[in-house]
Amino acid sequence: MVSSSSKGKAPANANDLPYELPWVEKYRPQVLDDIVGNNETIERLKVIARDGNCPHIIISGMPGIGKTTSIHCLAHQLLGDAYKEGVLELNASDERGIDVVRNKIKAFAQKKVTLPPGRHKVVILDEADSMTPGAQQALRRTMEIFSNTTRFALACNMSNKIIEPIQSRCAILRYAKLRDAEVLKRLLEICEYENIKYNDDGLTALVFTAEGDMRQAINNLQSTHSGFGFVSGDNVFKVCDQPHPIIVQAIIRACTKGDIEAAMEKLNELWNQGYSAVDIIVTIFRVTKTFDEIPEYTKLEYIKEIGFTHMRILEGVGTLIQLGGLMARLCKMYHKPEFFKI
Amino acid sequence: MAPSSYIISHRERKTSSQLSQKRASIFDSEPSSSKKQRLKPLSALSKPPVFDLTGSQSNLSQSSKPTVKGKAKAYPQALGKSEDEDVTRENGTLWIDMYEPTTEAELAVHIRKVNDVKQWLREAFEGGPSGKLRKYRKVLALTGPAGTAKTTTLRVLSHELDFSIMEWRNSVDERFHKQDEYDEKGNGLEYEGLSDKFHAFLSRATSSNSILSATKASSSYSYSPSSSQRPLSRDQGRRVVLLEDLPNILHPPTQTAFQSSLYSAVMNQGASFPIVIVISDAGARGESDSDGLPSQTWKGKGREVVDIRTVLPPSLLHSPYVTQISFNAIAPTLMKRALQNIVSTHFSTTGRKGKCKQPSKEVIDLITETSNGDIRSAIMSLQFAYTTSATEFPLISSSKGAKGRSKKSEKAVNSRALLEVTSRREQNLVLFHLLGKILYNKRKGDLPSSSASARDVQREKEIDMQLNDPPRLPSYLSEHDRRASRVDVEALYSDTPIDASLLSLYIQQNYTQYCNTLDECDGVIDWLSWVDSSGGESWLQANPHQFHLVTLGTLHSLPSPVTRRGQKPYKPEFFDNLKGLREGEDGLRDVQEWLHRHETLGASWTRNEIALEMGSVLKAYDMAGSTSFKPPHTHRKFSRLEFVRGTTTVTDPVDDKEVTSDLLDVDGDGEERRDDPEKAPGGWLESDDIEDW
Repeated sequence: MVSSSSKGKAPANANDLPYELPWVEKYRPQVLDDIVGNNETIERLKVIARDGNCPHIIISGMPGIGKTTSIHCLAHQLLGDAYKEGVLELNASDERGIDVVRNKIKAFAQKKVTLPPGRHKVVILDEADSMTPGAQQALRRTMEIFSNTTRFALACNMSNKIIEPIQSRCAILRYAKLRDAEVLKRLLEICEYENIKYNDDGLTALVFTAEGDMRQAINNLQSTHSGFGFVSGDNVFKVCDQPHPIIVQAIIRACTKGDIEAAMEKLNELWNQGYSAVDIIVTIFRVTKTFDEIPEYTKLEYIKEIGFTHMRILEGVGTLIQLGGLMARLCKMYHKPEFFKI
Repeated sequence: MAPSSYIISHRERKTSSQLSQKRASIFDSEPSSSKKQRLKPLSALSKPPVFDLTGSQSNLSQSSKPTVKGKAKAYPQALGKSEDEDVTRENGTLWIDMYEPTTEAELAVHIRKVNDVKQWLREAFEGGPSGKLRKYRKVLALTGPAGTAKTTTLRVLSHELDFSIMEWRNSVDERFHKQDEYDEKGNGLEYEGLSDKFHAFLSRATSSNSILSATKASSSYSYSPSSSQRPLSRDQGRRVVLLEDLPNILHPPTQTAFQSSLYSAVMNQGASFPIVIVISDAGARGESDSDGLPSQTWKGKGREVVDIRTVLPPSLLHSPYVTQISFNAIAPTLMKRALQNIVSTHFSTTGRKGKCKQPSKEVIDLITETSNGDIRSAIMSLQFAYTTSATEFPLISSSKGAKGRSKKSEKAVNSRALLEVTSRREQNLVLFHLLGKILYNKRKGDLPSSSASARDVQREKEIDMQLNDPPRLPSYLSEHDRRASRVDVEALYSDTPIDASLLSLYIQQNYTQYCNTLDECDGVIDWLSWVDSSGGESWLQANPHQFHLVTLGTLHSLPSPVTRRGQKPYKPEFFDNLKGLREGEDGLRDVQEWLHRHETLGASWTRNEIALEMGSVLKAYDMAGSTSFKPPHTHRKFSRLEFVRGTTTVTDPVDDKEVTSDLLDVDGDGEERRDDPEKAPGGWLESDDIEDW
């Protein structure tokens, strides 16, 4: 049933290539079975891939969780050898104004392609939320008129950017963020194929920095591997250019004890390493939200302050003084309120 | 309903409509010009050099046929519909097309709406009792949320009232085709813009009558199901022009051109065919621009939406020629019945009964619940969840059946999970689960609720085992001490189907039910408002950690444990209010335009003045039933404020929020409740009906 499985993963001739493919491409799943996470949805897509008669679908979710990959796999498995003529793919980099919807997509929908019964031509619209409302309006009737020959598969980050009439015509699949274990499993597989030397610390760091984004995790793995030859925590953070969470954890721990001196010292250390304020604040947030040494209330107040500072930084004041102010406010919570009365 | 008769009629209809679809799409591709096979009145009209019927037959074989199955197959289908082909076709069709209603009884629309439309159409064709109404039945605008059977109603009625539908389709641009396709006859042609084509289409479609109907036109471009097999209708003139695939209204010049074409078509006294415009409301459910809520882009950027006001020119909007019938979301009972019908039909045809899992009643209830009144989306979900192959039927469906059965017997939870996957729209079940998780605020050591099963109790214990007790807060903060929460905010965050601002909207609507004291309410609302006020209007400035703040803040402020008293989650009223607000704004705009037209009334009214001062005057006139003075009726949206819920008066119950619409601070939840001078005295008494939100 899986016609494209011959392409498989880990091509044997990978070593012959003078330039190494990005691993994201090299290990991009070719069949739905290889896709990680969102099991229920993928199961359903597998049934459709086997039985045909795919409804219009919208897949929405965060970047790097396999939306586009699933659609490609689905189309490959549905159409097999007819993929080339049976699929029209347009993404944000293609022009997708009204003209294209009216002309290119319609012309494609009218094109005759011989397909087995129950199979349909597929129009893949990647990053569909970047289409203008006008173009989406034009698409709406097209989807209906040609539904007996052509099915649409849309991928987007926010399904609410798709106009309602189109949402109404599609089955909407929402992909959840990948869990850390799922990302980790895939990373381990790749490590095995590529004979990567790693330690647990390194993989933890990769998962931490990726935040459920498989693409980023794999990219970071590859860069760390080609840069250092060994995947350790330190190397990963060097490659990803992110402040080391251990240091950030030390900062927060100092704050909970009200030790502003220690907190500032660590902060200065990070600052002098050249990290930008955004890098630092993002890492502070990531560490805080999973930091279980602090009570709920403290966590809440911390996140409030961090969010406030983050906002200011995003507005353009990415200075050390803002971060210092944050440190001071975090430390202040340790002390009795009476101390601050004049 | 008797299954057998239903099925037969369904098959017949299907084939014919497929045929007509096929034809229609051929016409659509007309500009490539090699595809002429028979008289094509529709495209002929939309494009002047029309009556060129030569050179078409020879090219027939190369013509790009729109369907995979091709002609050879389609025609036999029309003649004798063998079971076999029925199966094949079924395999390649969407359920929404396959099970489209054919009779009024099958429509899931409220009977009164259908009657409204029918009434209008009758009047348009026959002129009502006095025969004079015909003149005023020129344009019918069907509005309503997506998937509420607007177009389907028209098609069903076309069957019943025996008229044909001529539909405008934006055709493929011929310039585009010239590049890669040989265009032997388009050479000398000047390029004709879409707006011009539309204009030509409209003026001819509404006026020219005889040629088309005389040449058996009704069959070729009609959507009406049986028309292709029907001999010419008794009154062949009966036709409706359907505008659904509108030109790009969001582009101002196109809009102007479109509106003027429409206007001239309506004003043309000779025009004999009514025009039906189908407009799907966007954002009526707050989905399409929910992230526009805080920033309210619709205000800043003008109207990026297609609605009746952008489609119809202002000169027509309130003229007697235009009637608007607005469809509501499909009622759950009606939807359930329709889905049930589809399911029973689908699983009894082709002998699949018993071999394949059939969605249970529970599943249908779930789909109904999650679809939010959108029947198309409901059927889509149903198909997505239960589609089976008909061709590979013996093998697959038995294996699938087995799988399905085992799945079912395993636990009903599975079907739920499946549905959650298929229909994760914004206001749906997952969201309510999420809300429940947050609002019930379960913490370590909570006693299990009385209704919890043994397994749930066990699971809760396991969760508790993994939770570490948090370190204590210093004594001066002891009132903030909480037991460890069972809610994993991170996990919620990765599973949540909505963004934080929508979540806070929901929490705001519902939190009061879960609080015991005012202090707790204060705590929740304090956090909500902090999140809301921190950060500007654009996403760039928004607080990036909103979700965590909202969730943690709510969890922290709610009592623990939350007293169970049968709380029910509600949808935010925000969306209705937003809709009301927009309507009020539109009303203001209408009144302003009306004042401009009547110079004697003084043209220099500002919106503020109209809202604050004109409203009571308008209302007084309205109450007095004055006839000499006719402001646009939409003024009631802001001049008459009714606070009564659930009444079926002419004006929808509206809230006071919309009155001050243009004075409003874009984001100010509180400010929108500003009081207004011309509020009806009676309104105060019932103003409790307006929930805080």
